[in-house]
Amino acid sequence: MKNWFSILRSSTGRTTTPQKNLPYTLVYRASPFQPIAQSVEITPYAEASVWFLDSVNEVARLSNLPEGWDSNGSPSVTPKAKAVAVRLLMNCAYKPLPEPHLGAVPGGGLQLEWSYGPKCLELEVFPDGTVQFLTVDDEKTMVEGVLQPNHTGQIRNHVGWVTA
Amino acid sequence: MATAPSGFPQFDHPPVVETVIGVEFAPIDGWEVPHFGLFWNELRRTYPKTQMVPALPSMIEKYGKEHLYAGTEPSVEFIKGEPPVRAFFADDASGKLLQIQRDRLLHNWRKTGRESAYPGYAETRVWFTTAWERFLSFLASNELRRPDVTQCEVTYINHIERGAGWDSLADLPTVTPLLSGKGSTGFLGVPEVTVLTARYLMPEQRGRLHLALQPALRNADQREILQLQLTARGMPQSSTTEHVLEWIDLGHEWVVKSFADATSTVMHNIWGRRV
Repeated sequence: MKNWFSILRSSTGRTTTPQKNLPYTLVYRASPFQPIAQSVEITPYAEASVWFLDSVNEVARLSNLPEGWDSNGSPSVTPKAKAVAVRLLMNCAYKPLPEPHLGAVPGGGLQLEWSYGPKCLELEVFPDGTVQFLTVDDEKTMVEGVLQPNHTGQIRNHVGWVTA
Repeated sequence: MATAPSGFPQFDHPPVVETVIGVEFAPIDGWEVPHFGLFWNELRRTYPKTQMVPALPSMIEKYGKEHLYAGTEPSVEFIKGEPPVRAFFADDASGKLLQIQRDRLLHNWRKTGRESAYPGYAETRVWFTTAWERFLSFLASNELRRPDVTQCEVTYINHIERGAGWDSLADLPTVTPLLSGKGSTGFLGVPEVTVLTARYLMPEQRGRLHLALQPALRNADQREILQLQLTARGMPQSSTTEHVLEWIDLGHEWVVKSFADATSTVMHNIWGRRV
């Protein structure tokens, strides 16, 4: 199902939470594509945020940096870090977020950073695919931690915090 | 498309990653959430995994000028009470997925790995028929009425991977004769994103063929693809299994022949077209 901005979860996995005490379910759809019974999940470029395609291409470019790209002998970005970074971008592809800043991290990792007003969300993907997050708010309060392997819900919370 | 009937296009390596054969019917009075579990209990050896997801909306083909743009404009609808649900009964090893909701039964085949090959229409048709017959039998044994089928549907989803016939969206004319990715003066250059949707009426208002082509990332392996989705949908002569299967055979014919018509001979060669 394509681009169903609704309180229902679409077959491509996007969800929003039903409001309590509502006797009716509101479903809004706006898409040239018909909802279909597809289960193989894709992220269509035409429906993702405008920054999504550029960001995926930037991750690909960073992942192709040769060994020693930082002049200090750093290895290239690992395939695992690249895959996890793209998956993080996919998880945010439909969110009202600004374009992320992307960078390679010495050691073979990648960093994704969203700044939204006084708030900042930083995700560092380590060479083995683990992800550490850091949030900084307008009072310079920092919270950091590690994302769980199945981090979709956590990402949603962090993105919600950044854009709230 | 690998084991198509005689006279149908056939490919050694079709890019199909998922197929759907299904029916929509008037909502079954008395169908409640527990029926999902009761029915799964009869099928769990074939479909060991379950998942509950929101129901698909009704999709009925309508004809005439007043319905020319139906389904393409934004719409808002209110559903009284709890959101309707759909059950997934799946077997990852074979790629089988049975989808049930109060007014739908759909049977999918999904490519589950790079080596898994499309089993062919004859096989997927048997899967659908078996599930449909078991569903009818389940309804009868639970004193629920036989569904009035309002639509049949056949969908094929093809993933044309980047690097196999196309490298940028400027190469779209190489993939499909339906679309040129280049302007007449070259001013616009290569599009960042292109989508193509088209609808075709089947003769005698037997149904409609919906075609959608769009670039995307496949979530599972993050490969860049062009997804070419073909859905044939229409109303069978009656709700009998014979008429349902007759329409599904027609829908399959339209999807397969449309796929061959909508893609180029360059791509046919890549996919090893035999007939």
